[in-house]
Amino acid sequence: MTKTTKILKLIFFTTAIFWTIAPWSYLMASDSIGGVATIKNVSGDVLIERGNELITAFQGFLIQEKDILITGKDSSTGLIFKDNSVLSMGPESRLEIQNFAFEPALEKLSFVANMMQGTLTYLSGLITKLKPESVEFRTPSATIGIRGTHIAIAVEGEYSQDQQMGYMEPCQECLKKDS
Amino acid sequence: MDISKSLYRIIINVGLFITIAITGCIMTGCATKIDTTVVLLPEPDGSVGEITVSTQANKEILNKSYESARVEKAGKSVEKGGVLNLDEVQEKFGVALAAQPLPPVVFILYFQSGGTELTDESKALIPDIMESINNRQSTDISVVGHTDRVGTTEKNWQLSMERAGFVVEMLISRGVKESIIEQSSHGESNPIIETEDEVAEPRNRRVEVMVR
Repeated sequence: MTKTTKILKLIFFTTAIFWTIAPWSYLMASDSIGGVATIKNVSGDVLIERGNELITAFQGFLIQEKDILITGKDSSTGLIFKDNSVLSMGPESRLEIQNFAFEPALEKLSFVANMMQGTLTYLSGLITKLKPESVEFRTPSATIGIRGTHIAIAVEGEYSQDQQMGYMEPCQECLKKDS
Repeated sequence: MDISKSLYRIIINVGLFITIAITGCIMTGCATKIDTTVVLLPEPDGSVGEITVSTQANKEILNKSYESARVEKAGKSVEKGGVLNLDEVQEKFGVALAAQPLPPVVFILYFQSGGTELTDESKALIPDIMESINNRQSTDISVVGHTDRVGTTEKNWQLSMERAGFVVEMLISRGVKESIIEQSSHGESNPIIETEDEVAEPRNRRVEVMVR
């Protein structure tokens, strides 16, 4: 008797916990299903690093926040973001979509990307029209703020995984702690 | 004896200094050379925007066509690099530029009052829509129907749906795959020109077609 009650209790609690967590994780997952950008063209080797996975990119592939796009030798790719901005990458490039939000009704508008290596071009879309200066590209040596335009960025030199992106944030933090 | 002792001290001190300098250099990231070049390009319509390039040391604003800036490595300041010529831009960014997709384009089709009959000007736009779909090898088209405020909200919602449906059918009949079209309708709730209720406004009787 006591054994069955114990088992029943255990089943009850696991189910309860499951139903408390499940809807939330479902909501959070469905939020990112649509993706933030679509790959429009791929030439050569283009990979997407998503968490621990490496996925081969193809036309129509949906890019999500935090994805890292990697192009190989003699390779390139082009994509269109949800805000209609257009981005392309040249050979041997590495770009992380750190943050992308396009929800005009909620005034959530931002795009921050880390350009670790290689070349890219970017033609801005609705985010910069609705909220100028909310698009930012960070390289290991500089931060580029965009007020609605068309740009090209090249990052040359050795890529290292623990490279700091952008220029100031870590040091501003140090200053705050010191004072 | 004294001379060799002080010489020894100098050597030790210089050695220590070099070690500290190298360690400091590695810690601040100056061992890896990371060179950033930024070029402001004209937009497809010829207009030129503005960008800021910032580092720990300084900030520069670029606002001229093909103006460039460079940061030699982390921790260095931004240096303006002058206006580049097209060959220089092509050499550095040619492959990336060639991979740039055509930006999405929006067409607005206007309707005669009360129905799904297009205006003559809008009928003439249809070949352009087809051309842009083909040029982009588009896999993502959205069709959104709207009305003006003549008639009830419910009737207008119905009408905006019929207008969007009419345009979708027209695209399908010209060979566009149904699966790449997303259809929606906003009734009278999303006007281009705000009006009082029951006011006829031709610019609000429309279907917006976005080709991506």
